[in-house]
Amino acid sequence: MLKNLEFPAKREVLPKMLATITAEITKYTGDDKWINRLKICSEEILVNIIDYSGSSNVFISCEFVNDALRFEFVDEGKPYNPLAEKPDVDIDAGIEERGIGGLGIFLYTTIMDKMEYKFEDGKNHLIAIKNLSGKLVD
Amino acid sequence: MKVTLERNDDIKIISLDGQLDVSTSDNTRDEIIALLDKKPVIVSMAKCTYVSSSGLRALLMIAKTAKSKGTKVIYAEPIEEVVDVLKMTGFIKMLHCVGSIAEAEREFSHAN
Repeated sequence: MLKNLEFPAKREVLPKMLATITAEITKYTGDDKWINRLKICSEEILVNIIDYSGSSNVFISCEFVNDALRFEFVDEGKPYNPLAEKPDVDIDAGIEERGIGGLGIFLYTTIMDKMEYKFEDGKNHLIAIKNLSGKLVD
Repeated sequence: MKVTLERNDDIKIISLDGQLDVSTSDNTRDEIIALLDKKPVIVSMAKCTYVSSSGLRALLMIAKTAKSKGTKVIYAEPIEEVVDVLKMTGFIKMLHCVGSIAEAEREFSHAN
């Protein structure tokens, strides 16, 4: 379990954050596809916090409850709900028509079973839950 | 991410070795785009272990540039986890992916 683990919200710390999260995920599942998918979600969420929140630090939690992994990313930046806008991603568009925006949020909202945002105690909380039934380590 | 021009005769083979993530994607995109001319290109993906949204944006910009230059690009041997992300985002329909470099070479030789 990772409980409110604090990291400086800096790009150069991102590899360490992702390594910590990936090590935690692999305690619960050995499914490479899902380890990769959850690492991608973590990268997308953390990059947004690092690049846009203005927060100095980010706090990461990851716990395993009822066969599901529950991630919580907390920052002290300006209030921002990334789930408020649906990403404008057309997965059927051709090369010329296809836009470059919205892919990060599209990925994590597609991969995760449930996402929730709240602004509490002056902090942004982004919660992401993925059930891993059938993909768990013995 | 290591970008290597492995072959440059009638076709170019560019190999990727590493992660296409937020810290590497912009450079990788620029390095590959700088190599694009009229010659057909095979991008060897076997050692590209990870693609996030910044990697997808790089691949899209490469595809747009290649299309505007009339360059044909085939992606050879992407690993399962990368194919998974390409499928999820519809990129698998935009990028031509095959299972091996030999298969990509055969496609280019048939096209001529």
